[in-house]
Amino acid sequence: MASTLETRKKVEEVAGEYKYGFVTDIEMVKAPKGLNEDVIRFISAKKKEPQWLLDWRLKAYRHWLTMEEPDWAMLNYKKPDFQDIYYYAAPKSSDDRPKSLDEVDPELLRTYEKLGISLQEQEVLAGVAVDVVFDSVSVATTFRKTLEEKGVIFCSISEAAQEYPDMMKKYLGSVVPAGDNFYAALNSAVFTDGTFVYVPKGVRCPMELSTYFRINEANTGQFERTLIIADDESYVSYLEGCTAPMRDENQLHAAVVELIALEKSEIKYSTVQNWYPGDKDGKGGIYNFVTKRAACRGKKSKVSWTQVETGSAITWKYPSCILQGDGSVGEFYSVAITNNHQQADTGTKMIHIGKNTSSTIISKGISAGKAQNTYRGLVKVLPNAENTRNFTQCDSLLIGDECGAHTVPYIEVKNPTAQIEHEATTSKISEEQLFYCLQRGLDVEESVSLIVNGFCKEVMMQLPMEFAVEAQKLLGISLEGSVG
Amino acid sequence: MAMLEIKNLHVEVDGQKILKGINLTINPGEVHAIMGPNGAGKSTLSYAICGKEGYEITEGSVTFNGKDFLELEPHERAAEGVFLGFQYPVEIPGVSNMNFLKAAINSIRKYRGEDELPAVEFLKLIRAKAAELEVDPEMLKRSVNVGFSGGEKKRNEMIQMAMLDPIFSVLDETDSGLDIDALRIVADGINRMRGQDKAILVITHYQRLLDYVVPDFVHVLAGGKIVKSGDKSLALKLEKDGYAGIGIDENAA
Amino acid sequence: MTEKNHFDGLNYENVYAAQKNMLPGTELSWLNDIRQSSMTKFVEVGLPGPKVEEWRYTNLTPLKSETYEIADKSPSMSADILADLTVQENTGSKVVFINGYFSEAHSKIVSQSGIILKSLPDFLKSDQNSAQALLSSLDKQNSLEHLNTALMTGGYVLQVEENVKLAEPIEIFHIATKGAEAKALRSKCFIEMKSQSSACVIEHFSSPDGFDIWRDNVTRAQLSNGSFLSIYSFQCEGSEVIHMNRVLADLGEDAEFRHQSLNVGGKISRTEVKPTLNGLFAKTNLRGAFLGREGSSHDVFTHMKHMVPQGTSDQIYRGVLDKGGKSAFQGKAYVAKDAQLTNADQSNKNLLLDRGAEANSKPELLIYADDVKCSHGATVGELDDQALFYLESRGLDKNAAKGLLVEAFIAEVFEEIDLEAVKARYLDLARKWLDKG
Repeated sequence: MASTLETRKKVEEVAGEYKYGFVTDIEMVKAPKGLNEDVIRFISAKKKEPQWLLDWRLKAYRHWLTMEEPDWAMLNYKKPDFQDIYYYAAPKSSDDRPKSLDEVDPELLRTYEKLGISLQEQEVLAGVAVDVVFDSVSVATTFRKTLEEKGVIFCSISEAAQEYPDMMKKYLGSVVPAGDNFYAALNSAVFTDGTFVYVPKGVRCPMELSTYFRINEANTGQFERTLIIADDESYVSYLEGCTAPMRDENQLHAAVVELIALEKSEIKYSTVQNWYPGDKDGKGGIYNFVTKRAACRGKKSKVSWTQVETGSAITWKYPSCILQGDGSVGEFYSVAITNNHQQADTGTKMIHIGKNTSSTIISKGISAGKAQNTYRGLVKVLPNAENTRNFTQCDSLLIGDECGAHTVPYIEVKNPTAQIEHEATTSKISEEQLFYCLQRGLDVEESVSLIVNGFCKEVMMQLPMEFAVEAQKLLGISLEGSVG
Repeated sequence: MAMLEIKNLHVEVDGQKILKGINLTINPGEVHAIMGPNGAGKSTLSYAICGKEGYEITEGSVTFNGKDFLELEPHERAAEGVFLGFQYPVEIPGVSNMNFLKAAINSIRKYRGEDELPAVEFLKLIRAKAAELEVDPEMLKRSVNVGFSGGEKKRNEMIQMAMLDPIFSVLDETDSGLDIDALRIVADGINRMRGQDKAILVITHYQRLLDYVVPDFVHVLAGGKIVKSGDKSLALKLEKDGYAGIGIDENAA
Repeated sequence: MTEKNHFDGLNYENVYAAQKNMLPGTELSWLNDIRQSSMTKFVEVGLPGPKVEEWRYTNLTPLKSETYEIADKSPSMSADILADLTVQENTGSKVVFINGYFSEAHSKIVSQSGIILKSLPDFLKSDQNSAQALLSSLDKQNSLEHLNTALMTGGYVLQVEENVKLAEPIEIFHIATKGAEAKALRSKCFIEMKSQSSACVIEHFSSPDGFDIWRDNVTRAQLSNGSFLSIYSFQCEGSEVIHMNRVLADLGEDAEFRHQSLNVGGKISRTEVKPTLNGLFAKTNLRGAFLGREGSSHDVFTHMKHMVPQGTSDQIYRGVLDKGGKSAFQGKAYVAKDAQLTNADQSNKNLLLDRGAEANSKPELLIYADDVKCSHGATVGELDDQALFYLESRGLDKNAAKGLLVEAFIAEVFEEIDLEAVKARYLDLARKWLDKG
């Protein structure tokens, strides 16, 4: 496969094993290390937030203090020291934000170029509006004009707090309450930035919205918060990509994403997560504890989560759908690849509340090296959810004999008209398939990459085109050195 | 120079001796047929030539165009120009025939130090080959062999062979399970591979295929050895008299 | 100290102190030591609460609020009860326990050379050394098993010598009758299959409706190389019974273990089957059905451990839930790092017949070896409309059509059984349960 080869070559040129492992040297403004109410006040003041939001943060913080870090996932790691983290870091130049891309710190732009997301290029070629989150502050937002004409709001969440307080008050924490879980509570207390999207009634968002998250500063946690509201009969597709530089210590990432789909609206949320996974010996890497949840509040609303998880040392993530509206639809398509010492415990929850709701779960887990990969999912049908449909397919692929692949589904049904189907398989790449590819002239890594891509195809097909290519390359890179 | 030279080849699978001293020389331009009862080691021979894992060469040598073939990886042997038509072509879910072939061709070209085949030329080529072999182009978009009937799988092998354009083709029971029309198409595909500087090894249980692909030499493999060699009349004699007719107990093999 | 998320079990320490003289083998000091230390271990952990992951679908609060004492010994029982339950007419051995105690009068031990079959109390007397060895080697017990060890009154020991085939299936009867109200009935059974031996055991759990009883039975089976053991279990407890049955099997090379069960009774029913495949080419086959309606909660928990290569396991469980019935299937297939070439399959299908029925399913795969074929499937749904309509169009009324389809759904679980009388009993009990609805 040519694309894999080409990518591999590029990787070797750029940064050895981890393509995005470089550090940008920019002066940063930081809050003091550690967490207390003063740090939260500092963050809130820096962002010139209204009082209600500060109160909301403090309430979340006080609740967080009473909570314990969960330990039910099949993850083995040293619990982070929450007092040894910077909760606020922003490029100094952000105090006077650039008016256009030309004014953006050239060092930053070079970073994005290395990431392969040159803003100008994307602006021109792909027509993608990019809201780039660089550590904690949104530094450049493009295409806002075009979107504004349609009435679409696409801005940083800090801006939204100032400019759209009514919507923020109404929806923030309405899907993931501040005290929902340990990491969500922490995020609610200290979230520094993120994205806010509102698509008005009847509007089909004219372009894919995209945010590139990136953790740069050493010892910073990243706590972004995303809130997307699709009003009646609207449509939006949102892309999220994540990378982080190589560092020896573990960095914490605890994000919260809330989606609200109103009547007959559709939200498509795609993630390619490629945080630094740590080195071959399991040193360093991102701890990725993310709470993503969608509320399908309106009749016939639809939310589709697609994720390709190739990075992070630890992944703890369950993008979920609360299917409240009658006839609402939830989808979860996931590829999770773990190699070396990576551990992932990921899956979804589909909570069927409304009538005629349906959900689809397709999960493909690939485990190589010494990695552990767990699918954990819940399909729950409440007593009044008539005619619910769910189909779940979880397949695991093992590469090598030192890794593990686990499937932990929960099915809970309280309505007799439900039709729930769950299937799961675990196997390794068959010798026959491998030899067949080899006999046709592919080398071992190409063969594995090809077979794995085939294995993941149902999920990859869900990704928007420009993401799919990148994701396909990532599969190959992630599995490098896993065979032979 | 001989194209393929097999000398005193001994092969074990799971510690069991399957091939016990095969000698076979194939020159450019020749078509050889290997026949033999079930369990004689016919498939083992094809796997050993192509380097399948688990087929341990305990003695002997395989030389291809002067190169020690046993030193090469399976994909390198493919890139040297050897194609194996599988008795049971493998299903690869999610990988379309198109992508599979494109990847294979470019990988082989890379091995040979050639540039990648431009996408347009690839498409032109595959359309032409599909038409020649009477294959529905829709089939090329489907996953490799997934959900294909026995005949479709064999036709798919023929397309792959035509696209990869090997100099030496090994066809392992390619005729099994085919109706007469499919057999004709497969035979046609094989005959297209004949040429002055090319060679073919047809492995078959029945002589039926040899009516369409006329061999220059016929060998009978039994009990892990080539016990008899001759021209195409040997195949006809086998058809008429059975293995017992040439002194082989089919069940004992 | 009670473990996190567990209920305090201190009141059972009082039960032990007050009633230990009623337990068999009180004269044996080594046994008293084992019972005492088991009780201590139980108290340290306590009773599992609903926040313990393995117990998320079964709420043991009733055990916390009420203390079940040990039943009094040997009341009388009509022989009709036994006759009704018996599957194999009069040919094989019968071992009868009434209210948790062995009943010599009702039992019949048919002697066969190479077979030892004794009640646990008898075994304690006659084979002290072996008994001590058996009871001292109980490893990896959970808190409820510790409690069972501390307070068990009944049980049996079955030993089958090398190359011996048990001629007829043994029938075990666990019967509760008057005098068992508000009591706990506990038994511990040991089955030892020497190499190349073979045996079938049929077990019945029966109790009257309306009796509030806590039943707790543990069977530990040891299968040496090439041996075969099949257990057929019939759980037909009364409406108010808390029923717990745990089966642990340890398989050697080429050994085969089969477990078949039907659960139709009880208010809380929990069946645990935990085979460990410790020998190459070991095979396990689990089949079960659970039928529940108003006031009943069924929980089937299996834990299949593949420790070595080349093992095969296959589980099929089906649930039928009518109005008010609740069920859970929790199946875990574990494949250790070295257990290459394992085949592990698991299937759980559930039918919901009416409103207010609830089915939960948690089929788990924990795989640490790469060259394996493991799969599971789970479904929850109602009867197929098309099939119902087809039957109705052929002249069956709706209930008859439903009954036929449900019967077929259950029958698939038991279709491989070659003991015709056993298979017929399974289907008969299922039909009776359906007719009651």
